Amino acid sequence: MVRIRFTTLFAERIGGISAVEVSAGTVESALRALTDRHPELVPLIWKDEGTVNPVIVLFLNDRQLGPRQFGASVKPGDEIDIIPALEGGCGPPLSAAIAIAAPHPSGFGETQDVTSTRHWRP
Amino acid sequence: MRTCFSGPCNDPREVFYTRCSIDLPSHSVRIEDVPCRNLEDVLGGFGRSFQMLAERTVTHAFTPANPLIVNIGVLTGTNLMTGLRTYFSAYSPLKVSNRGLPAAMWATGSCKFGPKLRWTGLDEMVLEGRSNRPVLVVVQRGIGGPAVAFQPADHLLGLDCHGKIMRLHEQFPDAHFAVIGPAGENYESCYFAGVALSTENQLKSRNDKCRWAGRGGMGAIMGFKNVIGIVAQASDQVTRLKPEIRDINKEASGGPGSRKFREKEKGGLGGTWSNYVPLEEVSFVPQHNFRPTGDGRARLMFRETVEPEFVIKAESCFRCGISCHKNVYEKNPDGTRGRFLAKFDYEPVNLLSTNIGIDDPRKAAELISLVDQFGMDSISLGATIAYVLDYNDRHPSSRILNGATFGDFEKVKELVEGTGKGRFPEIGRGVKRLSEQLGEPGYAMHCKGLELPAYLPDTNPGYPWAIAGGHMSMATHLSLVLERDTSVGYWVKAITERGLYFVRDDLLGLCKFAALTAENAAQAVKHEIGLEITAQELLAAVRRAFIRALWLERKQGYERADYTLPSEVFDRPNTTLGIGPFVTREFFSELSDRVWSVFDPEIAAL
Repeated sequence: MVRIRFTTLFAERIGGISAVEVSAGTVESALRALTDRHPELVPLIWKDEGTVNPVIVLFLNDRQLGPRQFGASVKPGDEIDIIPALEGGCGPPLSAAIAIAAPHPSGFGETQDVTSTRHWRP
Repeated sequence: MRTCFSGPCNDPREVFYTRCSIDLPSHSVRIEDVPCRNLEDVLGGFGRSFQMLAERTVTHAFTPANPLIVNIGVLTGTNLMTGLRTYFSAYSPLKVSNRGLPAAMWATGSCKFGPKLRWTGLDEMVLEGRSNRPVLVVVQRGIGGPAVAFQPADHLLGLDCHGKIMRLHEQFPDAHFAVIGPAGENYESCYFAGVALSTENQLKSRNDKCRWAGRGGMGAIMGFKNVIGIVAQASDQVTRLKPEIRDINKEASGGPGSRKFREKEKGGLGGTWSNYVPLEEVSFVPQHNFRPTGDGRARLMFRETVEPEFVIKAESCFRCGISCHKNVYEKNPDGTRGRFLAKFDYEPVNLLSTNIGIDDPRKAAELISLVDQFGMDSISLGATIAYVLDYNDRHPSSRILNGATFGDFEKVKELVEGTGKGRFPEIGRGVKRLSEQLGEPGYAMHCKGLELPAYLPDTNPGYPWAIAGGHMSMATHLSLVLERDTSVGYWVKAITERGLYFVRDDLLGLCKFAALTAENAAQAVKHEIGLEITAQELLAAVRRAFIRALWLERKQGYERADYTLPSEVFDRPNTTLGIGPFVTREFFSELSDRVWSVFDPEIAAL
C-alpha cells in the first residue's frame, strides 16, 4: 500500500482524515485511487481533462515531483504528500462532523452536527 | 494556568488563569487567579479577550475605557512547537464601523515574549486607563509569583523598535520585550502602529529581526496608554518533553502541513514568498493598487529571480523546526553572507513593491526595513500608500501629499518615513478615512476599515467576514486559485463551514504554519495542562469565539452595509485576471443573504 498524506485543505473535506493508504502502481494512479474513494477531493486534485491541478505540488518520499513525473512508479511503503502551492486557503482540519455549540453550564456547550441543519437554535 | 479537577478532568471551570490588572494612572496592580467561565477562557487568546471586550462600552479607541489586553494561548510557552504567540486585544482605532464606532480587534505575533510572559507566572495582563508619563511595564517572576513594576521610559522615546529592544536587552539580559516604535508614539497620526516583539535571533545577532503583532493598531493603543514597552523577565522554564508532545512536534516540523514554509532542502516550497509564482500564473498578484496589469513585472520579485543577487537564509523562532523566516542578506563578493537587509514574506514584499510599482528587491528590502523601524503594519501602510499613488495617477493636476506616483521610490520612501513620524496623518489614519475624505472610496482596498492583504478582493468575496484581517481570520483568500469554483454555494460553504476555523490557533497560542490537526491540538491541551477535550469540543469553542466576534461587530454598529467589498470590484471588473471576474453585485448580494442566514441564528443564540 502507498500512503498519501495531505494538508488541512484536503482533510477538512473528508472528515478530518489527513492520510489514506491506497493500492497503486504510479503516483497518478494513486491520486485516482484517492479521489475514487473520496470524490470530494476531485476539484482540488484534478483540473479539467484529467490533468493534475497545477496549484498542487506532489512529493514522493520527500522528493518534489515535476509535472512530467506524475507517472513515476510507486511501491508499497512509499509516501506521497500533496501540498497546495500556496499558503493559506485552508483552516484547521475538521473532525467528522463540524460541530457548533451553545453556551452550556459546563462551558463546553452541546454540540450539534450542522451538516444536517443550517438553522440552529439552542 | 492551574487546574483543580475534582472529578473527570474535563470541566473548564476547574481551570484557573492568572490575570494581572494594571491601573496605569495610579500604577496599581492586582494579580488574581480567575476561574475560567468556558472553554474559550481556557484556550485563551482572542477567545478570552473578546469576552472581556464584550463587557465594555467603548465608543472611541483612544479613551481610558478601552483596555489593552495582553495575553497568551493555553499552549504558549509549553513544549509544543510554535507555542509562541502573544495576543494584543483592544477596540481598534483603525477598524471602525460606518457609524464610527471602533471594533474589537486582536493582533498576534510569535517568538519568545509570550513564553517569557507565561514563565513569569502570568497568563494575561489588562492595561487599564492611561499612564501620565511614558512608562515601561516590567513583569518579573518573583519568589512568591509574578511581580509588576513600572519604570520611566523617557530614555526610549524616539528610538526605533530595534533600538528600543537592544537598549532594554542591556538592562534586562534574560528578558524579552514588546515595544512600540516611533509610529506608536505618534499614535494620533498613525493608527496602524504595531507592536514589535523581540526574538532570540535578534538579541544574539543584534540585527533588526523583530516579530510583529501588526494588525489593527494595537501599537497605537499602547502608545495612547503611554506604555512604551513591556518587559517579561523570567528564567526559561523548559519542562520535560512528553513523548506525545514530541510526536506532535515531529509531525508539525516534518509533516505535509508545514512543507509550504520550509526550505527546499528540508522538503519544503520555500515560504510564503513563493506564493508569487502560482498567483502570477493567473494574474492574481496585486499591482497598481490591486489592479494587475498582466505585464509580467511581478516576476521581477519572484524568489527565483531575486535569489542569485542575495543570500537568503531560513531562520526560525524559538525552538521551531519550520524555519519560515526568509531573511535576505547582502551577498559578499566571495558569495558569503553580508549585511542583513530584511525578512521577505509574500504580503509585505508585494504591498511594498509590486503593488506600488517598485519592482526592485533592494528597494523593497529598504522599505520593509523602514516600516519595521518605525513600527507600522506593512499591510495597512502599503495598501494606503497604494491608494495615494492611485489617486495621484487619476488626478494628475491635483495630486495629494508629495505627489508620489507608482514606481517613484524616493517619494514613497518619504511617505513611509513621514507616516512613521506622524507627519502624514492622512495616510496614518488608514485608507478608509482617507478615501472618504477625498470622496473616492471605490478603490480604497479595505474591508470594515482594515486594509486588505496582498490578495485581490476580486478573487475573495469572503473578505468581509474576516474578523481580524483578511488573510488571517477567514481562510478564503486563496480558494479561487486552488479550486476555481465560482458558484455562490461553494463560497457560502467556504466561509461558514471552513474559512472561519482558521482562527483556531488564535486562541491556542500556536502559529498557523504548524498546521496541527484538531485532534493533535486537543491532545496537546490534554498533555500540557491536563484538560481533556475532544477535537469537536475544541472546534465548537473556536466557532463560538468567531460568532462572538461577529456579535461584537454588531455591538459596535456594524450593519449589513459594512460587510462589502471595494466597489470597484463590482463597477470596474478586471478582465486581465486568469479566472473570473465573477463577483458581481448580484453574486455578492446572494452570497451575503446566504452567509447571514447561517450566522444570524448563531449570533442570536449567543
